[in-house]
Amino acid sequence: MKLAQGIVCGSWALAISFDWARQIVETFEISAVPKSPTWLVGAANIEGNILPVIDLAVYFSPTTASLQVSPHQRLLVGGLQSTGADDAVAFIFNGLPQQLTYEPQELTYAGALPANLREVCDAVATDTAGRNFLEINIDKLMVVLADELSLL
Amino acid sequence: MNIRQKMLLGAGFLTLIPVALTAALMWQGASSLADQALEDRTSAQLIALRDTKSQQLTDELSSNIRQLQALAAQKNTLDAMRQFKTAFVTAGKDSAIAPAVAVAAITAYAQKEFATEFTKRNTQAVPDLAKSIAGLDANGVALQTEFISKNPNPLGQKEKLIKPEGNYAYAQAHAQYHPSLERAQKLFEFYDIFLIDTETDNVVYSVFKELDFGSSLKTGIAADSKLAEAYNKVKQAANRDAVYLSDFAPYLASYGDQASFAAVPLFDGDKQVGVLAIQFPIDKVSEVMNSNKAWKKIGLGDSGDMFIVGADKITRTNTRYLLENKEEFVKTMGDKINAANQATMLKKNTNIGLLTIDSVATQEALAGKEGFAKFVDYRGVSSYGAWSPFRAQGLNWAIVAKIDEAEANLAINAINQQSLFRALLIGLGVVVVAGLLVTWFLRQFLAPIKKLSDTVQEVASGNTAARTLLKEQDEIGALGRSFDGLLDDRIASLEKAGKENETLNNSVIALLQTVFQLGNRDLTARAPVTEDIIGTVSSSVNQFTEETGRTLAEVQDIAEQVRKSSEAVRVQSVMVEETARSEREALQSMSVNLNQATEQLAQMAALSTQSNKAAEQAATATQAALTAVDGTVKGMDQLRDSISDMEKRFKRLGERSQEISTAVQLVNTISERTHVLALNASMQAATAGEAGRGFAVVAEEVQRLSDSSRQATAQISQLVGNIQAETNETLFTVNRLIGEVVKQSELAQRAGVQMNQTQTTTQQLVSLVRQISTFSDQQAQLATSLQQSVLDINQGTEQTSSAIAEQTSSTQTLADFSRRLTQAVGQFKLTEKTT
Repeated sequence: MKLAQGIVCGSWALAISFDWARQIVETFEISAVPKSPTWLVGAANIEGNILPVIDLAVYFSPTTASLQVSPHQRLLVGGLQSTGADDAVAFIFNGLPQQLTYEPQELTYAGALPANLREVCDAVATDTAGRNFLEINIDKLMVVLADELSLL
Repeated sequence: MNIRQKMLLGAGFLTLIPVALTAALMWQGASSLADQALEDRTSAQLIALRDTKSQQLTDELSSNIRQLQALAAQKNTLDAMRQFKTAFVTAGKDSAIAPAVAVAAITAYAQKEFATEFTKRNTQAVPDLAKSIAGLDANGVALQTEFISKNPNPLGQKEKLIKPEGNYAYAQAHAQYHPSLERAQKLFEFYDIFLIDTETDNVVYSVFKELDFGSSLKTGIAADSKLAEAYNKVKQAANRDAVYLSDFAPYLASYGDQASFAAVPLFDGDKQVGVLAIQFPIDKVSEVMNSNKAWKKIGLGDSGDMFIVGADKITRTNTRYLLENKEEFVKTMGDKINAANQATMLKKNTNIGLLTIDSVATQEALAGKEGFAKFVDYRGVSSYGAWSPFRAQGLNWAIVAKIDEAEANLAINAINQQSLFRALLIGLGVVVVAGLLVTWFLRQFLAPIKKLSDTVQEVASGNTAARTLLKEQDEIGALGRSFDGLLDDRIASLEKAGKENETLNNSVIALLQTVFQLGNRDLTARAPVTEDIIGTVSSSVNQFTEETGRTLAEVQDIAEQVRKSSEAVRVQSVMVEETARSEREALQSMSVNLNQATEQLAQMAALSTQSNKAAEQAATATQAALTAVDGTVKGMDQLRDSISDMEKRFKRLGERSQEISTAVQLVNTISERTHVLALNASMQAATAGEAGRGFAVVAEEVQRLSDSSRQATAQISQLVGNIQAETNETLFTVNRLIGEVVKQSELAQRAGVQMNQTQTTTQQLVSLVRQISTFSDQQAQLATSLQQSVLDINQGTEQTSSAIAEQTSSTQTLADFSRRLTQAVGQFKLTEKTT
């Protein structure tokens, strides 16, 4: 059985592995980063670490408008190592997160997903109520995000 | 008419009578046989149609039942039942829509789209569905919202939604099984297919997604319907072969249209897990009965019809007359159908469930008998009809095939006219042939008789030399010869007697001329006295004439004198009678006037007495009403105070509810933060690896606890929202009530003031009425006395008038007799010597 953090980004229900996820932050402030892509919302100070804040809904579906920050939004922080915050990043999402305990299932409808999402999604996680979450390969996601930023 | 004509006529009659009798008997016989044959043919035709349609309908129903059983036996259907049953119970929990919002959405759908369609199809008001919606559980509410109110397809095409948004269990099951079930519904031409959970009595699936979908058959919109009846019959079936078909009845979920339901059990192994039911469209039964409106083609002519009635004698199929011209049909039926049903018929183009047919045919058929007879149908038209009971699949119906008598008899009338024409033609031919034969025979037989007749006529006309000169040797020839000899003898004798008679005739003629003059009242005429026997008679007549003339002259004088005296008396009597009549008319007129005056005065006196009593009663009643109005005003004031107090309490209740909402919101926020805190703890525990396993269990429990808290707060929010809505509604009602009470109180006070004025006016009225009553009694007595006096005078005048009239009449009679006597005597012409 695998453990993951289930979050909803725009119209996508995503499962982020517990191996990567470290913390959920409810109170935060975001500072805009000039000339950054639309999916990079800005930077936030989380317990002394300055982390980039990424809106995966915009990244996966570029036509989606970026969400306005509101009291119903939270940050999922991951990649924080005890030694520092070099690989740390925060995903902004809506509503309450959910803990998923699941056996990964084969993704049968990958063809219907947007290209950016299809590239980082390998399997499907199902919660106890039968709802499906797309399992994100976080390592692959970090690589493609880094590539995108390097091209700017 | 001569002998030839008589014999011709006689022969004609002798020929015509037997021919006419034979023709009439033949025609009558042929007509009776044709009548019987035609009735037999009509009977055979209607019975054949009745039996054919009965068999066709039985086959149609059996075919549908077999299709239903085949569908129930498929593994796919059983799998669908299992999946829908499981997914149904979590549908409410899976739904992302708050229950209060969902109920509001369903209520809006019922009040707009459902109500609009119901109004289009019916004349009666849209029923209140609030109770049915309240009977839905959380799962039913969620599914009706997803598949009906939020369904983007228009009304009537809701089945096109295969998978709604979200990936919850019911949506997946629906996406998997709905296409095959919808295909079965279209293929078998069922109106709808239902899967019903026997543990919860819920309709867990339907193809069409009407308001019965997701509802309970115990508390929902379909409770007490024919669907519920069919379901209950097979709910605890002994085996998988059980089947039940209900009768037709209006079905609210299908906008009040007529519907029948068939149901079979679904077994999972030896255990019944559900019921598969179908909604049977009534149109199919009607189409079978009217053969797609091809009545003429199947032998029902222009007026034939076939229909079915249920045990309640109400039609289950459309009648031909309504389908052909509904306005004319409704007009023909008139008062036999009530106004509401007439309007519904015109709007829905159907008489199913609306028309009661209580005729000999339906009574006999429902009693289990079949037959054929002539009877008056439900429109009042004489008809031939064949009927029989229809008892397929447990139904107790009656099937009737009929045709108007006028149309059935068209053929027999044509045959009757044709056979009558032929009989007349044959008779006429026989008479013509017989006439020709008789004419030839008579010509041969009557020639000598004609010769004899001609000779007699010649002799009679003065040709004494005429003779028959017949040569025939039969009886007529001998008669002719004897007649010739007789003529010879008789003519010689007649010539001799003629000369003697001429002399005597001259004397008689002279006497007769004299008597003729006397008969003309000429008493101056005298007869010549001859020497034969007539001369004596003439002398006696002359003497009698002279004596009569003298007597009549004296009578004439006396009569003239009497006439003149009578005329004078009659003129006097007429004048007296005229005077008496004028007096009598004047008195009678006076008497009538007095009589009317007396009656009116008596009525006035009686009315015055009644008015007096009524006025006293009015005074008493006004006093009592005044007391009652005072009491009402006091009661209204107390009621207003009580309602004001109640209004304050309800306001306080609303404020308390608002405070609860605030508290619940706070608890919800705490729950959410606890949930996030627990997740953070879980992640930290996961990072710690094996060392954090115990901590992870605790964090998971905290997370579950916070989830329970959030669900509880959501339920509390919904309850508080309901309380606030009810409180607001109650406050509105109470405010309206206070307004009404205030208005009623003012009205009661105004009534009290007006009552006081009425009481004063009534007392004045009582006093005035008493005075009028007293005066009226005195006037009535006076008028009665005066009337009696006039009556006495009138009676005396009538007696006098009667006597005068009698005298006038007698005088008139006397004058008339005198005039007639003078006229009678004056007609005689008398000699100068007598005058």
